[in-house]
Amino acid sequence: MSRGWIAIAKKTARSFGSWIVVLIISFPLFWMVVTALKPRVELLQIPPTIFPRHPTLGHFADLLLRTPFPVYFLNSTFVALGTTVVVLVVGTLGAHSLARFRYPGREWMARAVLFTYLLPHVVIVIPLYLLVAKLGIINTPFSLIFTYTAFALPFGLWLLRSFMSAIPPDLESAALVDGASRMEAFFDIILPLALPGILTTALFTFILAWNEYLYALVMVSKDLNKTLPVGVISLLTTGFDVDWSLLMAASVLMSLPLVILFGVLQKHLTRGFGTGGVKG
Amino acid sequence: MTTVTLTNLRRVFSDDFVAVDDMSLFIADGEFLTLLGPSGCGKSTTLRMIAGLDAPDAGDIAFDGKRMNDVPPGKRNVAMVFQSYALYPHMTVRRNLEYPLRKQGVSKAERSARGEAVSDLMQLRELLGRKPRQLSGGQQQRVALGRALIRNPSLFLFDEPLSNLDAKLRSYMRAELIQLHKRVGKTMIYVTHDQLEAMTMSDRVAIMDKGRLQQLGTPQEVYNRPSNLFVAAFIGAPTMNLIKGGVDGVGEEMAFRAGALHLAPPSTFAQRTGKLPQGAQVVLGVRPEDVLLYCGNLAAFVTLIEPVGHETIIFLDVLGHQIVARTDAQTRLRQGAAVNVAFRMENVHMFDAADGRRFA
Repeated sequence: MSRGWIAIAKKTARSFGSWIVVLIISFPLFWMVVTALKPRVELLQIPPTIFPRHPTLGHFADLLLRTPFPVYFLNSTFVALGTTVVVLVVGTLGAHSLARFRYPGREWMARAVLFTYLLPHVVIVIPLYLLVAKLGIINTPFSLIFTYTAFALPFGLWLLRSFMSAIPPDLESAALVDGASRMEAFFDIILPLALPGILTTALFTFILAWNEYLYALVMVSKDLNKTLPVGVISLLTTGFDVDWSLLMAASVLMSLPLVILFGVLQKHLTRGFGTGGVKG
Repeated sequence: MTTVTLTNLRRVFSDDFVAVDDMSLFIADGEFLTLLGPSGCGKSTTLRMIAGLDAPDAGDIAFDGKRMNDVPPGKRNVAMVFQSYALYPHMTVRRNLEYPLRKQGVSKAERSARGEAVSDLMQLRELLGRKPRQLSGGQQQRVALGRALIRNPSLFLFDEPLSNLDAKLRSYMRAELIQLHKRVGKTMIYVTHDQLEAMTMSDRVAIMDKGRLQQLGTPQEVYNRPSNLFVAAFIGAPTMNLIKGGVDGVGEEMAFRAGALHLAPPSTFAQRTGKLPQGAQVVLGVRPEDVLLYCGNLAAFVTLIEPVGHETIIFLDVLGHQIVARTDAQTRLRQGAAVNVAFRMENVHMFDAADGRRFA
């Protein structure tokens, strides 16, 4: 009897704790949404209103119709999707090679890949800038795809490699004997079984490319090629003046794709973060 | 109709480990051949080379006389059953079964017809919609066999397929596999470290050790005439008694001496061995069933008794040598008892102590 009460009390305490953490973390998000919906007069009122008295979608309309925000949004989408595709294609094939084939320098290469991940991004701004300039893609979205791939690929390779190593080699052997070519075995067996790892890598890459500011600022100065983080800041902060309403509306729209992605992929991600969830 | 010829196969792994060396073997059409040996002896590597999953560093593999070295596994028309079963975890039983046909480009209608025929044969009807992880070990095994059967291959390869089953299911599946071989009549190559499987199922057994073929023969041949010490010690449970000693006397007068033990092999023995030099170092092999109790003149006492049920294993001290004998379950011998024993000399084996080769 008393033991049952203790268990219930413990459970309640734990979920109470979780709720407090959730509230603390989600408050800024809540405030962002609320601010975006408030008319300008209500914005700096003291005492502040928690819920807008006269909610409006006008800021969203302004942002979408009177500013180049939609262009930045498309640029960001193109860069983030492009980077994700490149990282997934190179990452899955490379990880498969590192996990399955034996060749001289394999381990050395795998470690070198990890080493590149140790360098802070800001350290290689200048070399990467020169490289991108030499390739003639400076000021285009491709410069960012190139750069973000360099950042996301090492993580992707390592994560995917551990996923693929966990897949029993017999499965691939069986597929080969059953008449599949190497590529077919890769598509039929390895990719579906490494799916949680692939989705995790995809999401990591997408978020990195979507949020990145420094390189986007350095590599692209042409206004119509800017991505969201750089574009929005240069659009809405001029000198000492910050347009909070539009900025918050932009922030809401910027975070939407990530919220949707997380929602859709949540189930696979929890499996992905607990690496090695493949049972043979 | 498929014969398999291996010629001087050799496989060296990157760390200079010679997995298979100078392996030559001819497997007749419709034969059930077992590759038997301890773990790491190269039997699985040999099988993987036959399947095309591993490439030999030297030597040739031929099916029906046609060189196969450069033919990819999928084009060799072989089916393989793995120890882990290697069922595709993300596919249903039906899709697992149909996978080889899908890769051959067989039409959908024919795929499902053949899939159903095989699932009836392997009693998998009710399981077709399930995923492998929802099946028991025995059911997974049947799916793996079904996937091998469905494409009607010319050669079946088995890599320790029964090792993951419990003892009862294993003996049942052994009988099933023998039946299967009789029914389909295809050439089958079976890898195992379990001599019981090898002895009961095979037409011929190829015993391997350290990457080399030690002996090739019918189960009776390898049991009754092991060609070297390794085979003698490997085949048979309890294992053969091996007594190290020297040859005394030449020709008809030949005798075997090991400490206080003094034995005179029958005269036919000398004819078989040819002339052994005086003092040659040899190993005498006596199977436990060739140790006769209550007769002869070798004084022995019982050190341990192991009743197995249908028989009793008796550990003896025969003039300072540890000897294992096998006798019926009704024995009245007790630990410490003294008993006279004799060896059935026409059945004893003699090996060269230096290189382990069989003399006779």
